[in-house]
Amino acid sequence: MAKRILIDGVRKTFPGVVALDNVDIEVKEGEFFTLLGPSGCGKTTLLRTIAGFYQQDAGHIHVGDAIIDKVPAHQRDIGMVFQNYAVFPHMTVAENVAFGLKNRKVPNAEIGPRVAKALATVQLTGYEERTPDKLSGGQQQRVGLARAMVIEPRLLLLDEPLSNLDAKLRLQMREDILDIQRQLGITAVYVTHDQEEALVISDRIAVMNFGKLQQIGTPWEIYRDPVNRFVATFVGNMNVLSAAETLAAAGASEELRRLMPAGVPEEQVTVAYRPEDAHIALPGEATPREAVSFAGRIDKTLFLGSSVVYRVHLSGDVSTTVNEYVSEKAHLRPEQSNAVVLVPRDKLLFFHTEDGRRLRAEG
Amino acid sequence: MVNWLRRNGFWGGVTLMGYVIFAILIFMPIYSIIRESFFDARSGDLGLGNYVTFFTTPYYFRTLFNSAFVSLGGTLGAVILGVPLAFFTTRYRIRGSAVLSTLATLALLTPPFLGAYAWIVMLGRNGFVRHMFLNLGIELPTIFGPLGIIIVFTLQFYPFVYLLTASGLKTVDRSLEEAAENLGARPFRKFMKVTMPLVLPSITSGALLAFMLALSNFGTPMIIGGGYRVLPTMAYAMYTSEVATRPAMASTISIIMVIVAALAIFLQRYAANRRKFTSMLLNRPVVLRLKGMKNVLAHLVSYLIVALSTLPMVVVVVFAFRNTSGPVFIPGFGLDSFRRVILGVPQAITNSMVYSFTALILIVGVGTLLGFVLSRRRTKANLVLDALLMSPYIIPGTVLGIGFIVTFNRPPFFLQGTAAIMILAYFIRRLPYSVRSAISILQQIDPALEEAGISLGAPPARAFVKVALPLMIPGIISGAVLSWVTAINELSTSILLYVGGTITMPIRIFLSVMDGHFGPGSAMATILLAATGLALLVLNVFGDSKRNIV
Repeated sequence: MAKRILIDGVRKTFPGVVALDNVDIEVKEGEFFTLLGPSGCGKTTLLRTIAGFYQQDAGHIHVGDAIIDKVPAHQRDIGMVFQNYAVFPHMTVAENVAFGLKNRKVPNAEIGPRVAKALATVQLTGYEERTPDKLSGGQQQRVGLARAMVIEPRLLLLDEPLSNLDAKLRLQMREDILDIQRQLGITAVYVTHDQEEALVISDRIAVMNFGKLQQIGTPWEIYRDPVNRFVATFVGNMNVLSAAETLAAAGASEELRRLMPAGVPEEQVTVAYRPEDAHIALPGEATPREAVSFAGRIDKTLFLGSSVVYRVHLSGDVSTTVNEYVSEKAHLRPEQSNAVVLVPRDKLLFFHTEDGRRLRAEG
Repeated sequence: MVNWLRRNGFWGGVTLMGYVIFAILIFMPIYSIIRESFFDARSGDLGLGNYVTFFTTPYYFRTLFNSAFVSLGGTLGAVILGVPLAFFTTRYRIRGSAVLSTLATLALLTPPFLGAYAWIVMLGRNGFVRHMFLNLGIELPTIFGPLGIIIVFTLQFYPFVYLLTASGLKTVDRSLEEAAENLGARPFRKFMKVTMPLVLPSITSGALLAFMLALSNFGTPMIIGGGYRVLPTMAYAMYTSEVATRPAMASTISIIMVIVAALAIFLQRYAANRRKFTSMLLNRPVVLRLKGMKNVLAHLVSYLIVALSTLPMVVVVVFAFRNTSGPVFIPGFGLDSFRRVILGVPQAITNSMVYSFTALILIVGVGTLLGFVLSRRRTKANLVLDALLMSPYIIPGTVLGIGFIVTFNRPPFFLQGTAAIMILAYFIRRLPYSVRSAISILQQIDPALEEAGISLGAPPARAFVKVALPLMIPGIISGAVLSWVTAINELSTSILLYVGGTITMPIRIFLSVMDGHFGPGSAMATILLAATGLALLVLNVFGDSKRNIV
């Protein structure tokens, strides 16, 4: 039932825009695969092309061993869950779920049990005769999910299914979706612009921008080992500093100069690190050998409860952010105090300032 | 052709059908009129002679001024009545405002010539109101002439301004007005500087509708013009006098009418696009409860406006039940006039029903399919078709009637005097209502629903029938009711196209009035009013309640 998907050199243009620029992706059998990117990056276009609502200009889409380029949308046997639920408002919950089965001429005797089973999976048993206007957004999306699953499709597509739900429900639903997908072992392609959602839910993620694939990898690889500045800054928070200015600032340790990538002038280098990888040195704490340090002054102390964010002014236009777990009130740093920011050497990333590509540190 | 259909499928075929309908029922008649307008009636010479004649002969070009005068006068009157009524009923608590809005809607749906006729009954040479005043020694002027036309237009068309302005006023977010107050604006200044500019687009579109309808209205000036000729009546008069020759002047006047209408639309679009506001409606406007004299005054004005526009309907119904002797009313009430109408001219009633319902079936079927294709498949061909299919809005009924005769009175059609030509005329004039209704309801239906149907394995046609169509039904009903009401009340085109055997109710009423047979005329008009009222009821019960009638 679950199938491997191969997207092979797919290109799609709309008047004046290249929505998909030769995209190659392989989604493994039973994998939960996410397309992540800002709006307009092409992720929804790719999903709709797989579903058959758009026809690509070039390239092929394989599901299992078959090429489905010429198969009309209604014959593709691909389940889809929509951003705004798209639950039929003139049908009951049960009729919604049965719709796809009836299109497939499934015998009536079989429809009842299958609908019941699908509704049980999404925890909507007992809601069969309700109409969608009597359901909450979360419940409607469960109907959408049940409706897409019950036809036992070769592939499940999910187009930002959680973006219309409130924050708390979103957290619960994403775990539910993951549970159901694992339980059924179905191949799923999920579209989102929410990077945290993507990290939580996915086996692998494809980050896209301007119709181009940026990086494919596990959530860990995407977060910890981004291939370029776009991926690094789009997923999670990232301090991005000009290497030249940082080096010129008083208080930057010599260690930074030692790590600078070879072969690229320092004006062309950007230094980056995640705020949670840095910390502010305690009074009297010496800079460890494996860390880079920047001396500066705390502009703002923002208490978030679980952690504290410091905005530290280094020099001139150069500022940086530190996100630190603080459990002792005595360790909370007041604004306007001097501070030394420590970043472990192996947490520093370097990018080419112009094209954004990742540069490898020396040493 | 077969290949083209295979490539573009069913919906491609619908687009093609739209183009064929446009070509035959709109383009050909208009093209024929344009052609005729360049031929001299007697000599058959090609040239601009007719236009030169029109603009150099006072007898002709005066009608242009006359048309402009009564149309602008009627529009101004409609704004003067419609805007305050809208403001009062949306911003102040007016008792029975739901009834007021229903009565105004009913007035809007009744054909203008009925109103004109009722005013003759009241203020004609032998009008009963005029008689009452004569008995008191006061001689009122008769309704005949330009002023009468303006009065009828005003009372007939103010509901458009009222309904559109009211719905505009209901969507002005309260916080905008509160912000103005907070910034120190006095109530009048607040209204003029904030509220008014925000609803101005609604007022102008209502006014434009009123202007267009006034400009193309044939029945009112024909009945109460009293020799005051406007463009549609002149075109009609020229057409009937040019029967023996080419309809040169009738065609020329028609083209001038279409140009004026197109200019009006263009101006309105320009004005509306220049000042277009979209705002989030978070807080509905407050409805104030007025006190004392202000309250009495607001009620009085609102009731008076609606009462004046309802009066003609009441008069028509009352006179339908009065006893008559020949053309003269005699004391007492009875069903005599109805008997005379139903037994004497049953054909008019059956024709009206058969033509309007046949046209309705065509309108709903074709309009729904076209509406779907135009809103869901935004190809270049469909965008162009969308604009083309709206053209009946600017083609006055008289013009279309002349075009139909010129076009379909020769091979390969020969439709003159048939039921088919009447039905086709109803069909093409009212198709835009149905298409618009379908499009506007589809805008409320998320396309993702149809995609969900398709992704669940329903072929496109089945997805349309199972998913889109059931959700479109309220909108389809609204469009159908409006189409039917306006079709059964149609006069300006059918008066040109009918022969003895294809007479309809509006034509019968018109002829009765012209002959001075007010009793049977009133009875027929009452039947027509009852049908219109019934249709409005259907609309309220089954129609798309979120959508306004205009």
